[in-house]
Amino acid sequence: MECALNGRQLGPSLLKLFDTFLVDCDGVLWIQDSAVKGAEAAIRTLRSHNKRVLFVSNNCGKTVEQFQEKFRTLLHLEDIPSRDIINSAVSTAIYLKNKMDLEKEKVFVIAQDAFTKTLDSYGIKSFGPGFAEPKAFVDWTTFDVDPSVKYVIVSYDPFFNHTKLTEAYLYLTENKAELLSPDVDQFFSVSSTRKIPGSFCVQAAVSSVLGGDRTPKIMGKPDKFMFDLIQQEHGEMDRGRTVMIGDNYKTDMGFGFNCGVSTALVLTGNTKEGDVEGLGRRPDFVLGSIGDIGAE
Amino acid sequence: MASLIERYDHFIFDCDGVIWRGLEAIPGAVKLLHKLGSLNKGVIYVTNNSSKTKQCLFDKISTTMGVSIKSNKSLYSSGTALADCLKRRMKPGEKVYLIGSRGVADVMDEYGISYIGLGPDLEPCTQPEFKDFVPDPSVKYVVGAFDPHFNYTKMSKAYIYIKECQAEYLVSNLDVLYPLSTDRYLPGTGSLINGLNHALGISPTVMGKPSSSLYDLICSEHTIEDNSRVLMIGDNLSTDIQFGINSGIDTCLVLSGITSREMLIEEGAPKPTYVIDSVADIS
Repeated sequence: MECALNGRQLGPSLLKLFDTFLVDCDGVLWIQDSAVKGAEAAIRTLRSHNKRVLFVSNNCGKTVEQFQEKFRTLLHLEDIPSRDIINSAVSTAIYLKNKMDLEKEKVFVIAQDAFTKTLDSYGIKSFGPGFAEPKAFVDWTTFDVDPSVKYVIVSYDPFFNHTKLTEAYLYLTENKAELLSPDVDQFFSVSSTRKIPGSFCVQAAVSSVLGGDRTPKIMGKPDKFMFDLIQQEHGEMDRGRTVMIGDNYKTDMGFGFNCGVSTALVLTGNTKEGDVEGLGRRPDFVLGSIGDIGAE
Repeated sequence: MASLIERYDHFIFDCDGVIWRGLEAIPGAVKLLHKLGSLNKGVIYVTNNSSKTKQCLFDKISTTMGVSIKSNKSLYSSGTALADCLKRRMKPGEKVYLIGSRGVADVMDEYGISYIGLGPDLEPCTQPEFKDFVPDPSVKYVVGAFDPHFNYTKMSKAYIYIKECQAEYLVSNLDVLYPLSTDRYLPGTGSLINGLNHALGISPTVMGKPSSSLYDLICSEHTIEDNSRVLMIGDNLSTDIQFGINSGIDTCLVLSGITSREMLIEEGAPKPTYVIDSVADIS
């Protein structure tokens, strides 16, 4: 492992070694609404060296347009193409548009409304986000299960409740709908001292009611399937010349390991300096921040 | 099968899938209960449905089904078992963070237990807002029971109370499915809170079936001289039959509810003493 906690010497190495940079966003380019120092310069450097830069994120709570807005306001990058931003809602849409009968079939979504907006932009009919009124048990007896709902997506949803769980359960059993999920995050760090259950915990509720042996097909990191979907849209990539840069060891580095690309961990987000020693398989590179790429 | 009535003095019945399914009585159930009453047998009703108060159960059994019962002392729900335990442990000023229905809240009210969190409880709403959430310091217990409003906020708050504030975590039951009156089942308490349990990485203390603490509660309130003359009748292997096994009493599985014959031979499935099609076979 090239450990570079004062990793400025690694920046030029990365530029020599790789043509394609898969870059995570939260914790790498920005933290909440503050840009990471040097992130703008890093992306500009990559582009001026004619590198292919794809932004690969598990954050499906934002639409691609909202990501572009963040690039504009925080990093002053005006022209990030929408197709270069691939979050787990986009990868799900790529999968579904190639599999579904777009005329006849629908998707039930337990997620935030950015997810259905993303699916909508691909011509995929979906519904589900927002507050769902509890139903009396007796009303479920007569609930008509729409037979066109053939896919169910389960993710973090602040309004997830028994109504949504029941509706998902009915599509999954009575329609034998396919179960998909954009990520497997067990926890979400809201601060350095507090974490709360992540979307995996919502999935656990669904898996539990299905008897525990049915798990969702994962559309996001760290599953290799997301890389297959990215290549479907962007063409095959030379894995020997591709690197995944991220802050989350489990999802970002795990994604890199699963896809057979190189891995660069940054320490500005989820995984901290103190965690590095205890890691199992080591990333190929460890950078203090993505800003090390742009540093001269 | 008539000998079952002679062999036992006390009959503990599960309700959903045994005596009724949704709003309809299982054929033969009412006749059996009248017969047991006329023979002065002990009849106790135990449901894992946490949202039923004792009054609610009394009304369903006596008014809706027409079975006469002397008092609500023979009625137990996982909610009343929870409330009974909390009442004995809680100190003045302490509160419960409640994941539970209006019915569970009614049970808490019945026992004089203070709680917060009833209903949608949607603040904070999104993940980043949790950074500034300040837990209520009087919350010393978290209750997990069936809650139609159970949502991400409640799951996260419960997590914070348990992990950061060391609140004690009690759960009414872990039934994954709840039977309706048709062939349809709905997600039960267990499936809802499994997400929270998964995040916590622990198995919570369960107050309803299959916990034998429920049997201890029953014994403390009824004169049961001989455990070998008590029969637990239910439709669920992992709750009803396991409850009987945990409590050291005989069990009778009915196939009128959630369990099919095929499930009986699954590896590791609890073994009932008897298996019958429905309670109609008892009389």
